[in-house]
Amino acid sequence: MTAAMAENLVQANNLEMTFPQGQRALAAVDFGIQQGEFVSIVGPSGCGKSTLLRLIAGLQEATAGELTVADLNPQTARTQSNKTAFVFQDPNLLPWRNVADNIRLPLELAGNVTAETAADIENSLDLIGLSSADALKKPSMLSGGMRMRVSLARALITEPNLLLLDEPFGALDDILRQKLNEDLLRIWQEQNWTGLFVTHNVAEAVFLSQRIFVMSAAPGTIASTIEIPFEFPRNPELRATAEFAKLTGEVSAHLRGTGE
Amino acid sequence: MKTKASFFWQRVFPPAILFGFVVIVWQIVTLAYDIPRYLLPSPLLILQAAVDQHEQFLSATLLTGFEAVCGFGLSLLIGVGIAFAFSQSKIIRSSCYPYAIFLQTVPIIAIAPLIITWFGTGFQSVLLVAVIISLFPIITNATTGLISVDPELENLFRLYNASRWQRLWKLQLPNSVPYIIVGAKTSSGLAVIGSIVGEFFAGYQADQFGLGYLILQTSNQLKTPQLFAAVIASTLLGVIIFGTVSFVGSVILKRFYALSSDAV
Repeated sequence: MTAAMAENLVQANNLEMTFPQGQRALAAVDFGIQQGEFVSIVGPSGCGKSTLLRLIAGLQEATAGELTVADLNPQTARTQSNKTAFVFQDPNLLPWRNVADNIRLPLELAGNVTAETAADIENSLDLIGLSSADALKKPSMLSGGMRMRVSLARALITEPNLLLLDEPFGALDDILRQKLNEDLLRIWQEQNWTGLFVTHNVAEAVFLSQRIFVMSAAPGTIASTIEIPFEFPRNPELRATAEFAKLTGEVSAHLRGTGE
Repeated sequence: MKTKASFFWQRVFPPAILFGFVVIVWQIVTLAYDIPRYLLPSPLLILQAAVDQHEQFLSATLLTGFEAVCGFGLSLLIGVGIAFAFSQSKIIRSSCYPYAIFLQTVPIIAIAPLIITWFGTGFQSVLLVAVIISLFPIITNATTGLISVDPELENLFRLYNASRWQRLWKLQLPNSVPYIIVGAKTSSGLAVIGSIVGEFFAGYQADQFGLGYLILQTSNQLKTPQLFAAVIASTLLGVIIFGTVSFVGSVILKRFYALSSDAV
């Protein structure tokens, strides 16, 4: 048990979260996520998925239980190693900055802007599928999907070890969501970060993940864990297979079982 | 081209026609009923007064305009500075805000004698009145802009361990730009009013004077055509200053949210 815990990048033991107003968001949450894993969290609205992600990011503090990121307190892990990145539900771009300057922001804040930064930003644009002509555009001139791509690039520019994604594609249409899923998966396969992905969409979770945590209604806890055995690289055609439909159905059944 | 033409026909032409109509009726009425010129001078008389004494009107308008521009500039600097302080701490904000409201509500007539006692008559006192009158909108708008940042953007900056300065400089200040522009538009109009009101109380001697002084003098002497000309000059001055500030503001906003590649 202890040996397995030491290997895990993120480890939660009996985690509890109660808001100051007395509302219980999370109860008895236990899980471990290994370095390099891609895990999705699905669950009914208001089950505390986003709260859990914010706890791991060190943006909020748990009221009880244990939570570590790389064996450190999440906030310490974030401030010291600067290796946790977060993709918000909303693209959350600074409207007065153009694309390149938005992507540069985390490096600026960390005082890490170097001679290579311009080239790094150029590469990151390429990675997320934007042209260098887009670099000078302001967010108001971009589509919703492009804004989300910029948000993703901004998270990746710091070369994170742990990438937390809070329903990033929730506001996009299905086709665009699938396209971004494929891009995200490709980037994850190329790079070596650990992904934790919160979503409402079961198909998205199955397509992306190695494991899916199904959370129960508030106060949220992890009701079941489902392994997704598909091999990588995964192709878009995977979505059309019977096995994919079967797993999607299984996850949905678990979700319904949580008493939504 | 088409939009320019439609702008002219929809926005410029109708009020211009109305203006011409009013002026003509006014001229006819004053002639037909033989209204005394000290009560209501005809448009032609006002025009004549303005042309005859154009040097006096021009220098008075320039002086008042200079006072208004200086007052507005000072208000902008001081107001943003105060807003900076307000944005840094709730305690500063809650302890000083009532006094900022005092600025807004104090009748300038009541404190004018004090200002003259302390600073005498002349430019400095007029400037002070203009600043007192035009400062408040800048303070409130800039403070709102500095403290009303989207909480998710605050989280983003927290996530990347931004320092207090980085947050102020890269998040709060740019966030406040549109608010400051709104405040500046209101303030610029008030600065013109402040200069003219200031001149009523703390205006100049006979050798150097602005529009406020001119309005007061011509009114006392029942030189009503000159009075009308001074009022019209004041209005035009206000329109020019407000229009310039609005134009510059809209250019800044356009650059801010659309084109350009400068990092803020």
